[in-house]
Amino acid sequence: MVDPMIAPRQHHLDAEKVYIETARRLSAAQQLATLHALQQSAWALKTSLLRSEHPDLSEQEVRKLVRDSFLYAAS
Amino acid sequence: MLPPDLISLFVLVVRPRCSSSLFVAPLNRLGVVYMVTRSVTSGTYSHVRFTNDIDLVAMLSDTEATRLHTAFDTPEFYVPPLEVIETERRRPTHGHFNLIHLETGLKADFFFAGNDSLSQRSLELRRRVVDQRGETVWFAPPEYVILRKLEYLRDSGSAKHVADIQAMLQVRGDLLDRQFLLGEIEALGLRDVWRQFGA
Repeated sequence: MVDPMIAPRQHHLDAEKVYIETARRLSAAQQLATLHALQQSAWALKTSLLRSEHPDLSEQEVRKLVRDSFLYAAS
Repeated sequence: MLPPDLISLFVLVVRPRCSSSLFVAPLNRLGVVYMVTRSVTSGTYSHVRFTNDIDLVAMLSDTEATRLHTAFDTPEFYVPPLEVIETERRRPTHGHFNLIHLETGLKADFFFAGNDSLSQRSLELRRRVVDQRGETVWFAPPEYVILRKLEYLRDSGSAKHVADIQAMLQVRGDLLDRQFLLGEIEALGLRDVWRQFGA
């Protein structure tokens, strides 16, 4: 979780511990909900960027471009 | 694969928060100059990527550091002690700490711009994007994201960075500021690693 270019400091190790404990505590429903929120967020950000960079595109064209980019989505 | 109705039910019951606004909304309220970078931005600038962390670069005054700590010092978040944030903020380079949202497990890697001229310049060129709640999310310019990935590639050799850079070059194409990009490649000594992209 820490930038590989940074030597870990004590507070990084503390945060790592909290992160692992939090991840273990999450139910399947919470994990699924978080995944859904991440997907929604990625969709909205992509849509917003395309709209600002290509104001000439119609809503339908923007939606298609966003959909296409999700075809190559990775984790 | 779960049926859509079941997913909707889970979502209704658990009511997830918007992942990007969890961390940036408090920063926006405080007027902090920040930019999102790495996976979230490279995914948005090219092919979408789902990641449970968000990377932020910011410049903070000492007053803002205290206010930021107060904003995240709630039962909802893990935030390190204020002294840690102050110590990291004063580092000339590589100042960094983590924030964790305890309900979702999402985390933020918070980097300080320090005296890094590329980060400082890129903060001036940050781009405004809006999430599904209408919250402003400031993005690092794509050239910055590529330059940092070139540095990681040079230092780690990870194939993941090659794929990310290729995707950004392919998708962004003519939208990139070549003068900015090539100038910084020279300044940062990245010419050798850049050569493999033939761009």
